[in-house]
Amino acid sequence: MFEVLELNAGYEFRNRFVHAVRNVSFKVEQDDFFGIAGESGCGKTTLMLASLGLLKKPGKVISGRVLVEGLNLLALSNDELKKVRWKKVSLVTQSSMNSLNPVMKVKDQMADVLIRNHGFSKSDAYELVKEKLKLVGITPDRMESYPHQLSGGMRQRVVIAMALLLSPRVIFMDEPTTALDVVVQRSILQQIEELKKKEHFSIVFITHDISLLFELATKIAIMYAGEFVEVGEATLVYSRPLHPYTKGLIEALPSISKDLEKYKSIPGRPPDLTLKIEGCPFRERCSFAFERCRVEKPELRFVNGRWVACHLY
Amino acid sequence: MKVLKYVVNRLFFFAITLFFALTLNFVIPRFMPGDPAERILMRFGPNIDEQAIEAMRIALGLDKEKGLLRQYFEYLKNTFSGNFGISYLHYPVPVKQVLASSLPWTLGLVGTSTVISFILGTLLGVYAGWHRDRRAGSGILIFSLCLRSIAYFWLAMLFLYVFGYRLGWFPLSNAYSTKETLHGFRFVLSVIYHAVLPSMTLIVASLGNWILTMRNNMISVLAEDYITLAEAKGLGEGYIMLHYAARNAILPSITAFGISLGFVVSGALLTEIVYSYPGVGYQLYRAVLSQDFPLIQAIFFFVSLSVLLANLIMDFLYAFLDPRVRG
Ligand SMILES: Nc1ncnc2c1ncn2[C@@H]1O[C@H](COP(=O)(O)OP(=O)(O)OP(=O)(O)O)[C@@H](O)[C@H]1O
Ligand SMILES: [Mg+2]
Repeated sequence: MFEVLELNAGYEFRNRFVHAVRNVSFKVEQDDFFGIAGESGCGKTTLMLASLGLLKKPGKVISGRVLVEGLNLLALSNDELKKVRWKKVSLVTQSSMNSLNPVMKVKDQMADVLIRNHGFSKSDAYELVKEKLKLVGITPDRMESYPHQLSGGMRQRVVIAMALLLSPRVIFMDEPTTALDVVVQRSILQQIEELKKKEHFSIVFITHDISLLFELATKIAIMYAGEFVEVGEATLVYSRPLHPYTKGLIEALPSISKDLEKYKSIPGRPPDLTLKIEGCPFRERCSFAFERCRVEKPELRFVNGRWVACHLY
Repeated sequence: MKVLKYVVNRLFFFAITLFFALTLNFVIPRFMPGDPAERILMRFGPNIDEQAIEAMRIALGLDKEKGLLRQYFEYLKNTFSGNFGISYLHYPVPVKQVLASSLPWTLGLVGTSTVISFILGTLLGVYAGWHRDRRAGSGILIFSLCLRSIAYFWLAMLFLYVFGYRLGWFPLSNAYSTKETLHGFRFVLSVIYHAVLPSMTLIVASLGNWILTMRNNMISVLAEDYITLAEAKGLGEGYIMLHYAARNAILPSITAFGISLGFVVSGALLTEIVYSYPGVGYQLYRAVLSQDFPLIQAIFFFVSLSVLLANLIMDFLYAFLDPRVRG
């Protein structure tokens, strides 16, 4: 349904290239909740923008394809893109004041895409806006509000309602709740799950908080230094992680039962993304590393029901 | 309701500041050294008797008999009735008349130039910011940096020399043709014709700043999530550029524009000198040199009034453009 194939992307930066997405492939199927987790700066947002053809200069897609119902999104003309965007795939950005245009009324910034690109009349457009807002629990009288008149949680619900406007098959969400307090975060995540059941869309959910994914996701991908290092069913990856990085992330999770002293964070820092990485990108932080990890780059292989890139298996 | 509160609030603030400006305008010249009465009479010769000076003081409203408070109330009353006294410099021409012959020219020339420069610069800045990675955008950027580094006085002289003197396309001085008496439409044409060079100078002098300011505003707005969302929605480029980017990017420029508009009244001294343009800037310059208090006071009054008025108008415009200000 939505497939990314061997995508390479990054940023041109002072005569160097920040290779932030390295040969990433994944496939999102009907009803998937596909989670992507990784440390800050590992390339999650770049992956999303590149997959949607939204990466702007100095960003650049070097190679790869993105298939949406058979069409390669990265090869479409502007006119063709107009028809695909928002209708087939939409997105929710990080929650904060700036996901909504501060000088436009809620109803107008939701309706503009309907009126300008999809042939809605004004009244039909507002009717649909009202309907979708109701879906996320926002009363119609809020349509006339400006973003600053809404609370952070409400704003994020508006953005979600906006993503739902044309009932797309896939919705990307880039850390949609990070900027909100825990209680609001909970209620929005719950709402996303309910909506997903009701409206039957798939979600690609990006976060640095891996614990969220174990609760919500059906499939997860662990991203490290621009690459996917482990991809599989969420329950499987959580209960029996294979990649040392995944193990490290799970061990670093705070839990009520564990003592503070037993927390283990992963030592070291990820490699510089402007460099060509020899061997395994994780080897310097890995306690299992051996000679082969230095010379040969591990490829993703299917091991014990999931894909993992590690020489241990 | 909130809008009304905002309007009342702004108006109140306007009144208070105007009052302070008026008071300062009264106090400051009175603490300046030198005796204006003596200065005026000095022009008529070296030997002036005490009585003549005293008579002049009374004529100027500076006589010691009147207390400062009475002088102050008289000053307020006169200011609001448009009676600014008699110019020392142009004695015995009333200040009102001096201003009447210079203020309209300044308002026309400097005001129009400021507005044109702002609109043009802002449009170019929007375009340059939106296309910052393309050739057109870099071209505009380089152009505006060049404009900014040109010395404005030098530019005025250059224009005058090339287009006025060498090529003879435009007149060398004055605000309208003095050779013949023109009426109606032909007079207006003559005024525009005379204003071309000075206003070009003024526009070129400020255009670069408007472009750069707007370009910077655009670039910071373009990094916002709502722009990414607008693009993801597949909205047209022109629509996003205007309704999502420029519409937000212009807000910080509005305040700066208000300040520039406010200072229009003070004229543009260098341009007026180079082009012998009969504006307020030149009058103020001469008034300061010869301690012409009434004229200085009157000009300062109009400058304060117009700065405050321009600010008031910009506050309202800002509230109209930015819903966050309205509450
Ligand atoms: N405009 C840019 N120019 C140069 N480098 C950039 C640019 N934007 C991002 N990068 C670099 O690309 C890499 C990936 O960034 P990206 O924003 O995709 O990370 P992320 O995983 O989304 O991080 P976070 O969790 O903090 O949002 C980072 O190393 C970052 O420094
Ligand atoms: Mg990110």
